[in-house]
Amino acid sequence: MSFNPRVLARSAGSASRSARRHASSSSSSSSSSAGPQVTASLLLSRPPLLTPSAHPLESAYYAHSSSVRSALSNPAPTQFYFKPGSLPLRRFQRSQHQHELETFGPRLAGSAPDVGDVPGEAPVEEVARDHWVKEDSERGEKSLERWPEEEVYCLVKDGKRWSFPSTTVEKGEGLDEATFFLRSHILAGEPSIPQTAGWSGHAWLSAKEVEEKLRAQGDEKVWEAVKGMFGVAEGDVQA
Amino acid sequence: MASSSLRAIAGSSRTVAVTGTPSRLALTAAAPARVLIPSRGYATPSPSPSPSSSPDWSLPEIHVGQTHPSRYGEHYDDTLSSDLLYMTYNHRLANATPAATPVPEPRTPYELNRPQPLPRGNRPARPSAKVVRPDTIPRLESITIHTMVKEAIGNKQALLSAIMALRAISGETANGGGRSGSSGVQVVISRSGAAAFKLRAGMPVAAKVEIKGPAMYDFIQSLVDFVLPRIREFPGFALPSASAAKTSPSALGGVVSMGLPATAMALFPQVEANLDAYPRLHGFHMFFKTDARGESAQENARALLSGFRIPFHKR
Repeated sequence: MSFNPRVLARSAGSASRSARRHASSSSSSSSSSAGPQVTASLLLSRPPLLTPSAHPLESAYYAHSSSVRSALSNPAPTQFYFKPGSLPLRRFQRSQHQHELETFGPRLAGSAPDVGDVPGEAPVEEVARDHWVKEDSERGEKSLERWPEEEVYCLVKDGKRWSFPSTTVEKGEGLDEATFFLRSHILAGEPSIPQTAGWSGHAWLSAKEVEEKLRAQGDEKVWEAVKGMFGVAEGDVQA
Repeated sequence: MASSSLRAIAGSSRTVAVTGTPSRLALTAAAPARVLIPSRGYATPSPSPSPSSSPDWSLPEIHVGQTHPSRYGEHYDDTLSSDLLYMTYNHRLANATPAATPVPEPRTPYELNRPQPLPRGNRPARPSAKVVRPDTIPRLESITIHTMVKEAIGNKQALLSAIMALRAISGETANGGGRSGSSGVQVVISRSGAAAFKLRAGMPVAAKVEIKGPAMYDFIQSLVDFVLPRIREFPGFALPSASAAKTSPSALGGVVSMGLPATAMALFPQVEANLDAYPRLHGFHMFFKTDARGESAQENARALLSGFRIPFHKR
């Protein structure tokens, strides 16, 4: 996801236009002179909960850039930031020398600074990245902790068919009042489906899972129309 | 913080860069293999050799890329920019055709092919509206942090604390770390004097630093994750009142300005780490410059900032 920047410009425009075309052509035309029935859909998403995991190339690039930057930088003014002889200063000097040794080799790093006895730092308790996903795993696709590094979208089930939550535009509502895909985020809480809606369930799916579900139920045209909203450009090869 | 009139006088001023110590590891193994080291006792900070002794080599161009992932930068790219596109879309502006300047009909043949006269008026031209489209979503361009120190009027040393605090908060030094765009902390010198405040022209009275690029998002991270949540009873930054002029230069410029008191400067983790090294801490102003222009530009800029978790409240 981090190496796949979203192309907003043309994809977004074409997605909403083609979604509009698709919506008006697929839904049943109403009686008399009102024209094709217009559907307004909701693209409800939960933004990522965690920053993306580092790709090895990304980590290597950042490490290289950091090394170049530290090589070109002035020496850190330790006399200002640390008290003389203090433990943080000794830790800093040791870690600086260690970094220089690893990056530039022993000749340029020089001899190790005489820091004496440096007690180890308190261990930082690391929570596994999939900790909350595992805790909430029994809820399956209904869990809001799924795919913590990706954006997940809400799809609802109408009988056996999965679709975006939609509603028809009533007479008297302007076209610019009801957008075809209204984009929104869930901030807190859980969605509760009212009885009147007629949907049997919901799921939080990543972009890839949305594509798989739509293709599995024969809605390739729907996917082709809306894929721009998920950052998939025309001509992208899907893995 | 100093009074507003004092700041207004000192505001028209010139700046002086604060230089640092020479670098120690310049021209070393980070660059490609064949790099020659000059025979001076220390290496010059600037990449180009001085004209007095010009060796027959030149420093290869070293491009310093991003050194760490930018959390709020990625948030802007992934989520915030597309949300802003929806939030700031203005249907009327998007469909408005720009009014053509009326060219007067030539009444005599002598008026044909005359160059168009300059527009009249005693005010500068307003920036024209920049419609928000997928390729023109408001984006943060730079952040300027500015501290005016009233005590520095008779006493230059009073500025040192402010300079070091800005250096710690922004992490910027002039062309530091090979980034040619960084200006570093600059001292602001007054151009005009004010006898009421014992100010003369040419006195250093303030310090400022302009942050550009990924470093902006590092500053926002410190501000939003460490400082603002710990300010006591912080309601957010005040929104302009509903009666404020919507066509003023500040409303059309796309710049959001805000300030914090001295107690907030102590909450930055970079300053808190060695708090007793600063004899005095000062309040400061922040100017967030975006590329929004024209009608509702400042509102769009504020929408952008609120997406970075900077709160605003109605007065």
